[in-house]
Formats: sequence, structure tokens, C-alpha cells
Amino acid sequence: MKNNQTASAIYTKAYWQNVEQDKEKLDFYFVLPTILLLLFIVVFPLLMQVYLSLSWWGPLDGEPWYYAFKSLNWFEQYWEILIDGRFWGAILRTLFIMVVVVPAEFLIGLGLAYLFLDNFPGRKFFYSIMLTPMMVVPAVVGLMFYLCFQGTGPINNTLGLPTSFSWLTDPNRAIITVMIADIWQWMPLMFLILLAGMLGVPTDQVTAAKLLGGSNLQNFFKIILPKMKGVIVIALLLRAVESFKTFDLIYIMTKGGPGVQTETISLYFYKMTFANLEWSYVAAMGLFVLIALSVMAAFGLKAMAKK
Amino acid sequence: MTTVNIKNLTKKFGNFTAVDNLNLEIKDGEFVALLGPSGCGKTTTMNMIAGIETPTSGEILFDGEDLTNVRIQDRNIGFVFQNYAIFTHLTVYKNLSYGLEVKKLSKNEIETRVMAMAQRMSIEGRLNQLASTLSVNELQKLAIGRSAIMEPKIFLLNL
Repeated sequence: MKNNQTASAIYTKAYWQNVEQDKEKLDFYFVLPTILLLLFIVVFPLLMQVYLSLSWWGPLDGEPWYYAFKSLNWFEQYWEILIDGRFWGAILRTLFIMVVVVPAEFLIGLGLAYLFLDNFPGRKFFYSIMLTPMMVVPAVVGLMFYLCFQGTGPINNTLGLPTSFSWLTDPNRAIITVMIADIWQWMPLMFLILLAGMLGVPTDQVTAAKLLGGSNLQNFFKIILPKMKGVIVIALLLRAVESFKTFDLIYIMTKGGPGVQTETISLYFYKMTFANLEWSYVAAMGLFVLIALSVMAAFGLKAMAKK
Repeated sequence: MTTVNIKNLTKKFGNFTAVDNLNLEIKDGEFVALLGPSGCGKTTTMNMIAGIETPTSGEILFDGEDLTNVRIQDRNIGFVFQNYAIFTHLTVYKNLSYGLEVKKLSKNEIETRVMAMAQRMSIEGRLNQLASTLSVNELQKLAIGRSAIMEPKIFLLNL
């Protein structure tokens, strides 16, 4: 009895409030290392980029980057971006690749996933084969397709085309070749995600739809596809973002050429950074794209949430 | 309605025999209940009648006609699943009208039949709600109504 009294005397409301406060402090100390790390790897480079983008500073100026304020020009680079034809060309080309490649990968992946829903002899074997392209290093895929699409390469041989028929150096065909390589490599990822989503659709609902007289095609569009909506959105978003960043494949296959016919935004940034050494201009372009994409993504997500 | 004749029906899953040489005749208008402990093959038998499973051997005749090679879609069987298998992403109305819509009936006829069935199952107040918001009780009514609206030859209730 006496023990109980002392216990209740110690554990008053104020005591528990104290404990709560201590806990909160402790929580903060636990996440502090992560916060510091994030500050260092995310916030600091971003601020540095903003800072550089407001100046003419370049690595050959003979001064460290933090002296960029000496050539401060505020928003002049951003004005330059607006009239930079090569920049907008690269943006349009990147968007064009995205708009062609992502739906193509989606449709092929969806069809194949539906095929793999049923059991057939050799399913496991073909499943492994299907996923291989995705595991290959993009640079290697680039090299493979670079070799395949040479004038004297196997593609021209198989199709019976003359060796003068060029895939990679023709201004109109080069971008198609690059897109074929991208589709070949990334369609399996789409296939994998969509197959997982399709396997998640309850089979008895599909059977029920069949018993109600729905053909396989009707049931696919009315039952299976709507039930996969969440997975489809994720798959499309993932590939759209990824395809915006394509670099290695194109760099190996065409280096952005002929001329600038396959130059995507990543390649343009790369060339401006390492060939032209216009670091502050690239910083400005990078920020410009980041802001534009963020606004687009925000609108996209809002529209999706409404649905 | 239809007479169902089951002759020497057997279903094996690997080495396991789920249904062993079943013979059964269900006459037109008859009401038959399969009773037994779980795992004795009630669901498998019904699945075979509906065409969801193919028998290992034996035959199923509807009015003397062998159904072994008839597609599920063409058997005209009403089937209520143990877990109801309601289309949770559709409204109650769309659940009821699904079978009629894929048959491409006129909009007017679909509406009349859906309304009549909804009233009969007393779920008419829920027609525009998503099926996933229904109570278990209402789900069961919806599942029965969804099959009954097709006016099937045979009704299988796996409850």
C-alpha cells in the first residue's frame, strides 16, 4: 500500500509531460544525422546551383566558385534560355522520345503481361528471357544497338538493305533507332510491373464476369484494366520520368548526332558542361527544367487525385 | 429450366482426387443442396458444372447435351461465389447491368431490368454507390441479383 502511494506521488501529470518532452528531444537527436546529411547532399548543391546560375562564372575564370558574385548578372542567363533554340530543340526532342517510347513500352508490356497470365509450356524460361534486357547496363545496350545498326550490320543484312542505308547517321532515322533501343531495354520493366498488377486482380471476379457472358476482351477492358489503374499510373510515371533522363544509350549510339538530331536535354547539358564549360549557364538551365517539371508534376498529381 | 445429368464425374488435382465418380441427376425445377465437410468437393463439383474447372473424366449433360466443350460464357449459368466476387470498382448499378451490357441489350431494357431486380433485392437505394461500400448482407443480395438478372437456366449458389 505504501509503495503504491509513493509510486503515484512520483508519476504525476507533470512527470509524464516531462517524459514526453524528453522523448521529443530524443527523437530530434536521432534524426539529426540524417537531416545534416540531407542538407549536405541536397540543399547545399541546390543553393550552389542557384548561386552559380545568377552569374557568368566558369571553371576557367581562375577563381573558386564562391567568387561567382564578382560576375553576378541576376537573371540574364534565364533570358538567354528563353531564346536558346538548341535548348528548346533538346526539350522538344526529349518530350517526343517520351511520348513515343512510353506508350509503346506500355502497350507491348501490357499485351505480353496478358499473355503471361496463362500458364503455357516454357513460361518460366521465356519469363527470364524477357527480363534480361532490363538487367543489361544501358551503355552495353547502346553498344549492341550501335553495332547492330551499322551499315554493314546484321539489321541491314537481315532486311536486305544496302550498306549505304544508314540508321545512325541519317538525320531522320537516327532518333527512331535510338527509340527502338530504348523500347527494347525498358519494355521489360513495364511488362514486369503490369504483370504484377494483373496477377493482383482477383481471379474470381474475372471468372464471375465470364459467367455473366463477358468475352475475354470485354472482361479485360471492363474488369482487369480498371482494377489495375493504380499500377498503370505508377508504371507510366516511372518510365516517363526515366525516359526524360535518357543519356547513356544515346551517348553511345549517336552522341546526340547527326548534328543535334538526337540530342536530348541530358546530352545538351553534358556537352555544355564538359565541352563548352559553361557551368553557370547549365546551372540555370537545370533549375529551369527542374521548376518546369515540378510544376507539371504538381498539376498532374492534382488532376489524378481529383479522379 | 433444365435437367442436369452428371455421369461418372471425376476431378483430380495431381494425386489428389477432389471428386470421385459422382453420379447425380437434378430434374427441372428441383432444388438440391450439397452438404458435407470442407474439402469434400462441393465447390469443385459446382465449378465443373459452371465450366470454371474441366473434369478429369466423366460428363455433364444439360437436357441431354454434353457441355464439356462449351465455353463458360455460353453456358448461361447463374453462379454466386462464396466470397460473392462483386466488382468492387463498379457501382451497384453497373454490377447488376454488367451481364446485360456485354450482351448489348438496349439501354432502356437494361434500366428496366436493373430497377426491377434492385427492388426485388431491396438494394434500390444503393444503386449509385460503389459496390465496395456495401455491407456483407447487401453484397450477398447484389451477388444473387447480378446472377438472377441474366435469367440463367441453372442457378448455382456456393454459400
